[in-house]
Amino acid sequence: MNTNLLTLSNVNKRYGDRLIVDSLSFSVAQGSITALLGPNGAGKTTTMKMCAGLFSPDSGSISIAGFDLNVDRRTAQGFTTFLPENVALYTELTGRENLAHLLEISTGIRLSNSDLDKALVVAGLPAEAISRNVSTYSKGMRQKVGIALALAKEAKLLLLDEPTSGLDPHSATEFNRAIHEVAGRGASVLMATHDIWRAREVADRLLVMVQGRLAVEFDPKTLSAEEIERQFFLNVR
Amino acid sequence: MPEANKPNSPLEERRNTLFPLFMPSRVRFASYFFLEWKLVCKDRGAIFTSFFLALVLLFAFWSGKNADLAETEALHTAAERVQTEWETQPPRNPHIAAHYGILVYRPRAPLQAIEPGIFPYQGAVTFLEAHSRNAPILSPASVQVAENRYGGTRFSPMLQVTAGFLALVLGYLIGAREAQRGMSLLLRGLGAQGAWIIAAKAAVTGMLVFLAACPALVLATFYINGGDAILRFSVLVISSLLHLFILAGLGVGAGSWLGTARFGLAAVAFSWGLSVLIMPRMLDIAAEQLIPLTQQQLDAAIAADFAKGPDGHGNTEANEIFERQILEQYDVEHKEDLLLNFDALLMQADEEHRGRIYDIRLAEAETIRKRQDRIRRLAWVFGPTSPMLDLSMHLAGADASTQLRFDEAAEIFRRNMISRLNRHMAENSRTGDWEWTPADDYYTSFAAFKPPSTTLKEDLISNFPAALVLCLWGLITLRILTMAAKRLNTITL
Amino acid sequence: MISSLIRLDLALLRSSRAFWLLFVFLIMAATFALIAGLDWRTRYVNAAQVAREQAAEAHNMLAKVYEDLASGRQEPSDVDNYDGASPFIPDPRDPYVAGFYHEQLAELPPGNLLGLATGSTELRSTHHTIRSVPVATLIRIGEPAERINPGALAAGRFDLLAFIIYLCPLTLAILLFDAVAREREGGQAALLAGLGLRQKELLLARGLTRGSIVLLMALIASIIGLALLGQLMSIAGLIWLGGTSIYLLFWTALLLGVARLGYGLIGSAAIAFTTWLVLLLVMPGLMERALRPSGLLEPRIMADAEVRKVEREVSVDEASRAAAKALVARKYWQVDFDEVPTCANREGIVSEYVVRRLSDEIYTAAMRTGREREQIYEDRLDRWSWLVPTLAFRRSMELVAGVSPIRQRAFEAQAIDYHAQWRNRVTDALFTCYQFTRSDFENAPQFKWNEPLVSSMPWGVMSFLVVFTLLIGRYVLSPYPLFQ
Repeated sequence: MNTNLLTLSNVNKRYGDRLIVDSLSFSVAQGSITALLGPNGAGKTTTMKMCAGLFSPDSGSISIAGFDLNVDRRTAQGFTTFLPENVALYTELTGRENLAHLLEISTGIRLSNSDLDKALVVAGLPAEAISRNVSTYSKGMRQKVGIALALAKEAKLLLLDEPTSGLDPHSATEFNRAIHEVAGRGASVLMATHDIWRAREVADRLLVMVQGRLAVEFDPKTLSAEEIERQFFLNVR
Repeated sequence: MPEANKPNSPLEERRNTLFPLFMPSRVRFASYFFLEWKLVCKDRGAIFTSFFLALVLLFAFWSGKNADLAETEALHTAAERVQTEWETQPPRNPHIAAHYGILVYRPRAPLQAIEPGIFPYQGAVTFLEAHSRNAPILSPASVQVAENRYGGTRFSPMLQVTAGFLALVLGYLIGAREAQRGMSLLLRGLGAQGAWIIAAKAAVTGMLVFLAACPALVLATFYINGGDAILRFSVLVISSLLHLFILAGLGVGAGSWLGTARFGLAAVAFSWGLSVLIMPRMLDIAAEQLIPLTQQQLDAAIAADFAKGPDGHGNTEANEIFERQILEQYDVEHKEDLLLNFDALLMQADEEHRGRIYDIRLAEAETIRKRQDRIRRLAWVFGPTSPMLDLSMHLAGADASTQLRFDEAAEIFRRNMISRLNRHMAENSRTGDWEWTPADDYYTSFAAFKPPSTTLKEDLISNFPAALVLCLWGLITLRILTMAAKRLNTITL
Repeated sequence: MISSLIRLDLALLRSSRAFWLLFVFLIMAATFALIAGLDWRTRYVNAAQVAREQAAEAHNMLAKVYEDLASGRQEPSDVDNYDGASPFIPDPRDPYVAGFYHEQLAELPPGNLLGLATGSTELRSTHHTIRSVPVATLIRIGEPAERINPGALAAGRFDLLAFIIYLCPLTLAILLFDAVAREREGGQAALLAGLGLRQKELLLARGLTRGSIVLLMALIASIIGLALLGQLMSIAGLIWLGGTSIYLLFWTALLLGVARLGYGLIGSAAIAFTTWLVLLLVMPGLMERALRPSGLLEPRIMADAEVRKVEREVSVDEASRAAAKALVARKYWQVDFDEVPTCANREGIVSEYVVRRLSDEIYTAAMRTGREREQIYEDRLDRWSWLVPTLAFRRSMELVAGVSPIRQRAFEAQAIDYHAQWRNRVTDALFTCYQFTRSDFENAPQFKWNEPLVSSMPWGVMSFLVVFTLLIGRYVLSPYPLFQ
């Protein structure tokens, strides 16, 4: 039985003359938290967007839960929730309303207010903020609405692009807790980041991309923090 | 004390607080103006829009000029021929000549080719005859198969409406540019004053739209001639320029203020549509509802009043009273004994009675029209285009007061003509002698109708409120720009 | 997915104060348009009533003369020997006098949907007093008498048709310009695209929600107006509702097409509002002017001068008078003037009658020439106005509402025909020395308005709008990623 939820095989993506993603292949196992690391311009965000089905690779294939994104995009997207770096929600609606509508758009499911609130609280959103307009939310709070969406949708794969950039230490810790909550429920997480320290804390597996290629892979449980940092900077130099 | 360190006078301080546009700047205004101009010139959208506007205005001018020439020619030829026919009419009794009457033709408005004003919707020909003050007839609009009254097809309305709208939208886009791109901080860091940034944007926008209007304006100068037309045209160009810069300024102000707001431009465009298209028409209807009067009601009131006085062709009680008065005055027993023609005296009494009624009733109608106009003018509050459109109409000499002047001049001419005919008949014939005719050349002694001349001074005085409101809009725009500049300074610092 | 998006869009609109402001304003504007339109209909009907009363007064005056004649109370004046001093009592039996005094009213009944649209009913006369004397009465008719303020007349009336034609598209532009740009610039596009949402679904949902709000408002206002006019289930009413729907669908598709172009918020707004300006304020006027032939008014302006020339020639010169008499006799009575019965050859009267007849020809010819020019204009508009669909739509809706200039032109033509009929009756009586009787007077043929068939123009325009809407719809719904 294939336990990999996400599989990229020989994926290439080009913008004009520039090769952004070059023969990229990796997979993400079910229930795991994988961090995609790399310097600016390494191709992390492009990879994430391809995994979210926002656009197709020029060649190669991406499959989610066995469904090829190129062939059956809608079904494949049904398993994922993609949160961009800046989770932009409808600022004139409350957190609960945003969750309700986005969930309905994504799955057609209409949850009761109490179920919506439960998902938001589990994602870490303070109860008092649920009925407030999103215009009053911080970036961390908006991200929690996104995570609540993944929880409510029972997404099998959560794709996070630079989730901790701009978060204060407390919010980042909160975020880690929420990510573990998602993974604890059996979902996989793939997050793109250039924050090696934060990634090391939260991820089961670290993949380093350089110039569109997968340069190196670490297991944070088997390597010391110092060794990871040394190897990382050696590769991205 | 060095010049730079000299403290500002209280007046300067106050001025700088109100209008920081006048504050000295480290970066020369011209530099920023040219930068902004270069950016606009590189903007294909702005260039295409200006080009389109220039073509539309050229077409509007050219077609308006041709339509005006054809209509003016016809009116002029008809006027000459009708006068010739009057002078060469066969020998006939003066009162029959009074019924034969004459037609007078509305003179061309000085700037009719570029601004027809209300002329298309008002009669251009008045039939002058005994006993009756006829309304002008044959309005050009009455023979149109399609008549678009929203927007404008002549040059000046199009300059105010279309070019005005584009100035507003372009101003908004140019004003919002820094807010959109987040360049304000960089520019401020380079020492540019918010005031100069804002002023340059407004100036560039206004300039762009005005340049688009220039080909048509230049062409127009070759066709504008006669009387004070050139002077009127110059004032119209200056006020149009002011109007365009006001709209450009309002656009820039709104753009820099609401540049990142989702409904910013929509709100600005909607306000414009409201002020130019909707409110004036709503207020028209409100005015008609609040101060109602129709031409038919007016005609009915006049007819009712007529019945109370002498009637030259009727048999009223007033006729008997008039006859008694005349017999008493000339100390005779029968009207046939008079040395004057009583019929002609009665005709003249009828004319004078009706003249008084017309004066009273039409003055009342005019008062109502003016009161209605006061309500209509509330539209001026909603935007600068409404007063500008009114001003343009007045400057062109194609407004309601010009039409009224023509109407009144025609009536004075009619009264003089009829009174002269009646007097001539009264003094030279006897009662009942309807066969009497004056000398063969009698009718050549009547001078042709001379249309009233308009003077720019008179028109400017009567339309001072529109000009004043436009200037007030100019000040409001300046204040908005100043506030936008202040805001730019505050945000970026 | 679409229904979820519609619910989201409704939630967004509900939470927007700007939308509620706009909504309230639209309701007020529609109410105002209905009140103004219906007020105009009342004025029109009242004006016709006054004209009918005046015609009845003229009729009663002659009826009284007949009664006086029957009872022998008072003899009318003898027109051949009138002294000019005593009050003139017309003799309706004398065809020459009856030609002057026997007035008939030609009245254009209000169009079915007058009140929802004003059209050119405030620019052209809607009733004419018809006599046998020259049609100068038609040429010299004053402007329609319902409005006194020239400024208001020049501006045009704000009615339900103006609401639908101008204000609804402006509202649609405000509601739809950001159909895609909002999510693109607001950043929600990435999230939504990640949830599997496609651009065409977003556009469709926006179009359905926002387009429906404006369409519903226009339809509700129209239904209220039609119900007040009692025309809800009439063919014209149904075409009005169908036309309104097609027109607003066209605008919805067009503005979604603008949104689909993919510009940012400001760029989309600029293009949307410029499209509105160009299609509604600039192009209709330019098209009208480009197609308008010269010489629409000039023949009428010149007619009076021509008539005076003929009148002078006939009055001054004996030879001209004889020639004119011969011409009229030959042309209209089909006899030589010498054969005219003595009783008809009344000195003074015949000369004047000849002048009248010739003048009538001049006036009629002027009006005919004018109408031929108008026909050219109309044909050109029929052929080309589809290039500016908004102009074609306005013309079609005016036609459906019965307020089109075409209908009024037809009325003028019918009034002239009726005048010719009445004049010929008088002419025949004059020539045969026939004296009208009370029965002739009471049974004189009345003007009957024949409603012309509504041309196929509305169908053509509506079909064109539908095709155009489908074409833009195809573009709008063509695949394109929501987020790149």
